[in-house]
Amino acid sequence: MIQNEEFINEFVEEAQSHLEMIEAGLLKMEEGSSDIDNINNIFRSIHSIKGTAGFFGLEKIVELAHVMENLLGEVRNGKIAPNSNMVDHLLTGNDQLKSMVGDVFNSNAEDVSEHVDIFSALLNQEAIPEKQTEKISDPMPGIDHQMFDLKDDEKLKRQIDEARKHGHNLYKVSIGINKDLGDQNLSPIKFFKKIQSVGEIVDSFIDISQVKGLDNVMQSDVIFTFVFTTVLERKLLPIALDIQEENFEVLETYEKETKTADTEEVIVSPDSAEEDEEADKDISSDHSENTTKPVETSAKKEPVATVEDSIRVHVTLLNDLLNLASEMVLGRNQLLRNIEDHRKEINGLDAILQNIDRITTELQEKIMQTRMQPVGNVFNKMPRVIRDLSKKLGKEVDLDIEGSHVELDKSIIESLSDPLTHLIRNAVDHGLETPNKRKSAGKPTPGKVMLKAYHEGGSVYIDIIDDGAGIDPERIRKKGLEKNVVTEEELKQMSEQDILQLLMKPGFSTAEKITDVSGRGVGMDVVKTNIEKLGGTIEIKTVLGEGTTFRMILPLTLAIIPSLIVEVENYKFALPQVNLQEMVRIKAGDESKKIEYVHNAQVLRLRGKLLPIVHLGEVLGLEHKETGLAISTSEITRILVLKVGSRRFGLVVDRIYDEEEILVKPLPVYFKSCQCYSGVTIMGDGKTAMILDPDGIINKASLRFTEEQTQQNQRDDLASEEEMRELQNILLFKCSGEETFAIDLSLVSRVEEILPSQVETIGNQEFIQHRGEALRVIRPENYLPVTKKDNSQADKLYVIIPKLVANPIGLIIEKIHDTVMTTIKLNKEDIKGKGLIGSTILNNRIVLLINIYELFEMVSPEDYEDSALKNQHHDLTILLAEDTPFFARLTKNYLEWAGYNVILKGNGKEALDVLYEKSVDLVLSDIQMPVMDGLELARQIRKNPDLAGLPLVALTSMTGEKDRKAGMEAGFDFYEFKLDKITILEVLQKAIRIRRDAV
Amino acid sequence: MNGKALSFYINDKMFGLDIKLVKEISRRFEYSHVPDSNANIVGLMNLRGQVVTLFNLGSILGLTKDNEEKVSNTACIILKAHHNNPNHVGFLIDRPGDVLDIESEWCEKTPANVEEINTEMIREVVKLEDELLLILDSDKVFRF
Repeated sequence: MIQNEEFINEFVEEAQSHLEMIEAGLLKMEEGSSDIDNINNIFRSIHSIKGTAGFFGLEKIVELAHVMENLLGEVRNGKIAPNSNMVDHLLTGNDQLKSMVGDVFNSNAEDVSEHVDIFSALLNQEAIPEKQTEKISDPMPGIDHQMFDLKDDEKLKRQIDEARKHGHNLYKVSIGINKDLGDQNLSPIKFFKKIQSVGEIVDSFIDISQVKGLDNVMQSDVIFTFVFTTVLERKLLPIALDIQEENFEVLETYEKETKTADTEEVIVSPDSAEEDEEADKDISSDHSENTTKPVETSAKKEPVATVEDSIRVHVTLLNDLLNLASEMVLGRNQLLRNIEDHRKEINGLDAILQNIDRITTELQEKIMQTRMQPVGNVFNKMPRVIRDLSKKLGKEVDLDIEGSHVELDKSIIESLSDPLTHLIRNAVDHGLETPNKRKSAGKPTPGKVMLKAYHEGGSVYIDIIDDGAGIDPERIRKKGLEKNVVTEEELKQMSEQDILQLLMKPGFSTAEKITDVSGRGVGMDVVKTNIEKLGGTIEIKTVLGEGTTFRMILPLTLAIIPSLIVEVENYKFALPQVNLQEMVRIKAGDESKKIEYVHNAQVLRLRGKLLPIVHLGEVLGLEHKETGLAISTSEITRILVLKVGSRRFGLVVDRIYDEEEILVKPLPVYFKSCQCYSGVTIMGDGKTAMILDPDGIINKASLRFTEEQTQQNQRDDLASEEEMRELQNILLFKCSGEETFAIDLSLVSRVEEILPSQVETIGNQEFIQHRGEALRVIRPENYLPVTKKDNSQADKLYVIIPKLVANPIGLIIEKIHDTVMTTIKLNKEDIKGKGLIGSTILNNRIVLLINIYELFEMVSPEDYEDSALKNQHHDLTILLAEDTPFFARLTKNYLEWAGYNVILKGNGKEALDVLYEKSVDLVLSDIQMPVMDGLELARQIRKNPDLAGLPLVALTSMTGEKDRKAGMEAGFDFYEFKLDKITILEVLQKAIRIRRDAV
Repeated sequence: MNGKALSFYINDKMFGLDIKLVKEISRRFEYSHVPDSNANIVGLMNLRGQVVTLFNLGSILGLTKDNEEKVSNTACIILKAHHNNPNHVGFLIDRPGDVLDIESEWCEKTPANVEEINTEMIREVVKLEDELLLILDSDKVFRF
């Protein structure tokens, strides 16, 4: 009965998405959701599977879906209350459907009678008594229908009457599936939808009277009959449905027809269903489709003509579009170049070019977006995995999902399912302890597994966190030796991370005994390879007794990455920005920064540490060691500091161009032996360029990193607080000198454009008129250790008016570069100076962060020298918990200015650790922090009787009343806005005083 | 073979290829050399957004003799992407020849005494009226 593979595939795809929905819905139901929409959705999905499966004669699917639908129908009508047992069975049924849909051509050979029995039994338990006997005696679905038919007839009549009242006509269309639809290359489903778009189907059935047996389906024809109502006139119908006049007839009433149709079939099915032909059973199952459909539609009065808001497009088409779009960008660039000289001559050309420019860019972005899908598509499968596991293993598990909305390229999403499932399984099976063990470890019995997706530095991170026993490196060591995965010698060389990575080696399994859950041949090594295939990496973090985190770091998209264009020996290369940490420029003869030699190897002293140096040209065989030396003696050496995992090295290139978003194309197979490349791209000038692979360069240059070095680097990373997540809104600007400055936008009240002539000089101070008042303005370059030009030619200026300062002073600047949302990583080697917080690199530029308080204090010390705020004795210690380096340094700075000793910690957990060891006089804490946030910190402190009297002040940018309330409830004494220096100092004094008084 | 073949010249020697394998002949082409790559690879070329790997067919076939003279490549031939190999390949030629109708009875396996070039890369030899055309086996030529 299977007509056409293409149609079947369409059915399979559709059914699979329905099955996903059913599963999600069932899980919701189990959690106690009695949401009627949810149940309706489940019902609708299963119904729709049954309906379409019927068209294809997939009788076993129909049979199973039918009994499930019946049960769900009763649940929907409130006749049966769902319980865990029932959901269990429904889920198993759903799984069975899944596997049958997955192997649709063999589905008819599956035996579903067991499921059918179960569902029938479930249905009977609470069904109306008189039917019970009947049903127990014969749970065949065929019989069920008749019972349903009786009920449906009434509804049918009512539906038709209702439609007639609204001026609908009643039609009956008969379509030969091979003859009519086959010619049009239209699947029955599509035709079904077509009718639904113009009217409402009241009944449909299949006439297979022409079909003599299964074998001659293709020769003879299957007639679909639809009875439906529509407002369309007789004349318009053939046009609307694209059918012949002879295919349909106008009906006056329908009851009689149904009766005849029904009786015919009803007569047929009991007679032959038991006896012989499968085809006959088919009628009965198909028939169920016909009769239950109206129940649904009439009962819910759904709008039937739904507008499709999505269509399926083949990925190759999208890829082609993407290629063409990038070609168009090239075309645009060429056009711009050629027309450059004539731009002025033609009126309005500029605007048009700009418009084309914008549209092309947007086009490319949109096409990229079509490939993006929320990671939730994969995450949604996990609750089910957890549920089954927790039942099987007898472990209670709470699953938290965060960041389902984070989007990734389709190809990545698709390949993510298996590794993720495996890691989840692993977390529950190996990670979490048994309930008994948890109890004795003082943990809550339900284990916690967290699935978290978030953006971080151009990648997407997916964390799988469990609060289980953690991984004991000692055990991995032992196991590794036992299984011959690693030798004693090698172990000695390995860092802890390396040892943890052993978990991912083929042939390694830590579970003492292999359960059927995790140890099923698919090992962690497969997970690792899968992730690496996607261009991602996987990291393991574990604390013995507290849990394990598996972190997948994935590229946002495989297609477009930000990169830096560099040149060596006239060859241009693209270097992925992900790996770029900083750029160092060395002038010949500069003794403070130079390349030195350890034997033959070149190294650079960078902030007191030695960085191995690799010449790109040399690695690629473009220059030889001898000539390489000659080059390094040239005027300037440009070194890119790259980081791969925890390995760092410097790469010497000849020239550095701009940053470019490049479209990554896979490396042709013919270059697989070249280690240094990871792909190809086409650049703005239409030429190809190779994309460098820093990992490959490390291998090619045979750089060997020792354990200590990598560990050192890792520690550095921790120290530099790479973990921070808070985004800051930064305003980038320039004064008369060359330097780029930055100020946090939360410190800025407004920025005004002024003319240089508006600045008036009174005495040696400058003022402007602002809102009818004189506002003192200063030029930051006069106070900061930076360059300045005395006679600036700028024809307009800007004034930054700060907020939250007692005596505002405007900053005169010359140019606004940009505002960026970013996380700031302050450079460790400071460009020190009064009035500056530090420096960072943004958009490949060194940016100086202005400390506005210090600057103002330099400008008018008299206003800021408020000794009342200072703690004269220098005997008070404040514990400051703040994760954003920018604010941390700013706050620490003025706390120290006020005479307090400051202990700075990056999160609540670290702060808490300090409290156990040291005594402090006050805790000043940010609210949003990684690991442990401020609220939790406050709760923990208040819980501890030793610390109960400690004054707690929250310092935050979340100033909503709700936030404040949450803060106060958590145990904070004061809740202050982050940037208001004076108020904070006052509050600190107050808080300390109150405490003293209390003591 | 039976059908049409495209003939072309490399190092002044004539070769042919089943025309069904050919995507296009490009006379205006620009390519970028890739450092540290296989010696037979000339470079990469951008063909309307597709990256095409260009080969030096002369050196693959072992036609090294005339290489010292300056060979001017006036065109390149780009092959259709194979269904199980999505990588586009092309190669430089001196100049294209003609499209020839070939009948199978004119074809013969490579004679045993052909030594000058790698014989396994020659699918067959076509006896044209006044010369011999060597039909290349693209699967063997671009196998890496």
